[in-house]
Amino acid sequence: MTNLQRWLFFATLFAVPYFALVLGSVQTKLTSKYLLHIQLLPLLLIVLFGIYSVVTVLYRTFTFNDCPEAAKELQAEILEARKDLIAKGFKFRD
Amino acid sequence: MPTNGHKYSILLPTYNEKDNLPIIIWLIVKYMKASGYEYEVIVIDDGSPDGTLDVAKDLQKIYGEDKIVLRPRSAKLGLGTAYIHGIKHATGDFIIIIDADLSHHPKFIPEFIKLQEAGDYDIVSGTRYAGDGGVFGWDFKRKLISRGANFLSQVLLRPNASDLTGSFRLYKKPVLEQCIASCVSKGYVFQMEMLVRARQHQFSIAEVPITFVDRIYGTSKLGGTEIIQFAKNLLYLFATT
Repeated sequence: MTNLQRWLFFATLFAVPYFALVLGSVQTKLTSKYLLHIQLLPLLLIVLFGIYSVVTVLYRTFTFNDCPEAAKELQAEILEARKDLIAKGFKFRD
Repeated sequence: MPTNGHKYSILLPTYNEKDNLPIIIWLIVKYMKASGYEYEVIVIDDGSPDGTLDVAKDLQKIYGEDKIVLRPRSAKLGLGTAYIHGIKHATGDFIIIIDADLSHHPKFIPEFIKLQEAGDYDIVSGTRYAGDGGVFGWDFKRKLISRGANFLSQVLLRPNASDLTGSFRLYKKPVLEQCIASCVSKGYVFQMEMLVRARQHQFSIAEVPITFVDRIYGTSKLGGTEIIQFAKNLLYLFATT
């Protein structure tokens, strides 16, 4: 099953009972009472997922490590490498 | 010295890296020598006009033909085919892929090897997004795009790895061959597809947090065309894998 098929599968699992209730093919006392809530359920789910996504991405952006010590270490090693390579007879072309 | 009977072929595709190549090779030699593992570096230069190949030849004279292997190609033919070309000439049973622009530090290679040995993993991937991993030289916008793209690919593709677009990895040789053979995309999204294909083939993947230091020499590329290409390939992989 591809990812797309998996999404469609779960969407169908949700859509069948949803439309049965919203379009009135299935009616119970409870679902009639909360019909508006049920109608708005997909919208609510999308909004919740959107909030989850934005919060997750922002949190991960702010906690993304900057690694300044890695850059410093590399700069020092570059100088060391140049010195050592020149000593070994290598000619830099810059 | 912990020799383990394996040999590690380090593939180094280059294009206009005359400044970075001597440094990256010096670093590889430094850390591989200290670790004691058997290795070779295969430089695949795609006809760089800046004379990268001549630099590589000079380095070969210093470090020896058994350590530095030159397998140049006449023109820029893309990353996927560069790896295939390199694998063909590799004498090791493990392949390590690393960028030549110094954004990946060779000090992590022995860590990749140790982790691979510990769990007999098919692939060990460097990750900027987990543990002590990270990136130097990115502003807020670049980080946001990167994190957003990563989140989206995690949701849509369910890979078994946190860093899909990184390209610092260790593969068992036949595993890499199989992943490349099933890849269809080219360029920068190729790395993402490799791990998605790995999941399809049910290869095991382990991760080592790495620090990524964005290009010190030369300029890094992330423009509108890259983003569109990324989105297109993401949707393609979503629909087909």
